[in-house]
Amino acid sequence: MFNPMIWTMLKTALLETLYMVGVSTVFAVVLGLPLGILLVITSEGHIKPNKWFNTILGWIVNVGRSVPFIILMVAIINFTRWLVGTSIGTTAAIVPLTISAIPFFARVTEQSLREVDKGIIEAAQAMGATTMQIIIKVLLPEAFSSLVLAMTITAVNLIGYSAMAGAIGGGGLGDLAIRYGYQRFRGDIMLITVIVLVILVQGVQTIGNFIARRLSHK
Amino acid sequence: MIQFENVTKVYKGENEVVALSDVDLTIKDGEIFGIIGLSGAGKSTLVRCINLLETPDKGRVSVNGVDMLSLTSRRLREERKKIGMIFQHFNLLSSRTVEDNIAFPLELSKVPKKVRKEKVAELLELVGLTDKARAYPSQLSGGQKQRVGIARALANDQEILLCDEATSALDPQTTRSILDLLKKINKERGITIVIITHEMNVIKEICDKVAVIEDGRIIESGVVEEVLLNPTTDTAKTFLKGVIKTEVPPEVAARLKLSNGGELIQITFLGGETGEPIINEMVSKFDVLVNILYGNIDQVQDITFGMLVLKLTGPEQKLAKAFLEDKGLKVKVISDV
Repeated sequence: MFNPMIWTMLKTALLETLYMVGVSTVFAVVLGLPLGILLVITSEGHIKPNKWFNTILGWIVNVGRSVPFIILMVAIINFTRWLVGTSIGTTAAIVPLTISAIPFFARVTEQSLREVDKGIIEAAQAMGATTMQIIIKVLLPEAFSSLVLAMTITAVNLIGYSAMAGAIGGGGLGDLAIRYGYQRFRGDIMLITVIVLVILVQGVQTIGNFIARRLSHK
Repeated sequence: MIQFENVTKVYKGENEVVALSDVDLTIKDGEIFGIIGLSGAGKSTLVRCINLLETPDKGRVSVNGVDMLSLTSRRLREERKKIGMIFQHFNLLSSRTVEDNIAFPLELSKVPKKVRKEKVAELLELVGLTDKARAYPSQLSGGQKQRVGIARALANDQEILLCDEATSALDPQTTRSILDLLKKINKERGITIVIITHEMNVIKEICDKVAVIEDGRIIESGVVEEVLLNPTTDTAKTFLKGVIKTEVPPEVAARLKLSNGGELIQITFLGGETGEPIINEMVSKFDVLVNILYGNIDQVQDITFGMLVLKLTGPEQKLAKAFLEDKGLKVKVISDV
């Protein structure tokens, strides 16, 4: 149906997408998780309430979330260049992807951790647990299954955003769809790229659901 | 020994709530001390002031001579490790197995793994859950979950066990088995147990002493039998009613409605007069027929409480009723049930 070159392009694009999404998900989790934890524990009635800190952090996270990705990508070009040495290509795309996903993941983490029963936290406090022990031994393990789902949602979001990264030469499936499918009127390439994206999203979500279910003992 | 001196706790906010007001309380070592009150009376706050899950606004709380309010947070954590606590909703970690839940407080205290294992095995045996060691809390019944809670609360060889409505989510039979376990632990380990409850049955079953709390104040306290027998406040009386079941169950009441003629009366007796054959005497003295329709007799330690619903027919109904009242029974006409 297609000539072999399309398959090669598709394969490269898929790998680029996986690379961008994979790396930015990891960074978003590593950097967003502590923020999410802080958002929860400093909230009123939690283990380390601090109204000012919580309000300011919440505000910063909201600002981060309200900047449209396409704008963010352009706005931080200088930062990206400074950080990774270039503003074009898949590696460069990882920077805005990560930065856009950090506040998002912080919020979903916050939601997951908030679901942990207050009673369990109180029990740990009654047992003389330190704040750190409560975070590591209670909050995170109790919310683990829900956190996996949070990571899944973040990854799926990033798949969508990574397609936009194509606009600044980020590479990946989105780039392929825009350059060949849209600009060169190759409807077939457009179609196959979208199909691959759909399968990718479905796959990530299914795997995420499966792991989350396995981890849950509720 | 747990001591409260003038402890006051106020929840500030739009409508201020005085949860505890000038509470004085002494709980001696080895006692099973019950604190009973309606919901919102302040009993939960009271028990949380012992391990400072709630901080009193005023007053002094001392546990085994340690002034709890003077402690640094580090020392407070150390003191908390000596006080076990169990909860109405068990509050087990759903992500951990039974054995890992019991090991949790030991992990917090950084007890080496080998010691932890031995301790957990011993505790599992104590609460009778050795075969459930690898199960997750979601696979257990309510009673089993509370047993895990108890084992966890004893893992650090605690001297005090706080029970916050620990049986309120359990059915009567399970409640009984949990209370038996608490009694056994109290006997074998000499642990002081503080029980918060709204069920007089719990007090009746295992407590040595009881305090009745209402609107943040302790309105009555003492040895259980004394408080049960001579309640001086309305709240205490209300709780007592709960124990001796002076209410006719609705399904019985429905049946009583069907019986016509005569007069329905309900008599309540308490303590001493239960030794006398009063009904028999009444029948032989007066021209009256007695039909016993419903009854309930209960025992608290050595004292009998009870209630009977009688149907009196005959010309001397009134005299018979007066006779019962003379004998010190409470008589209530319930023809209108």
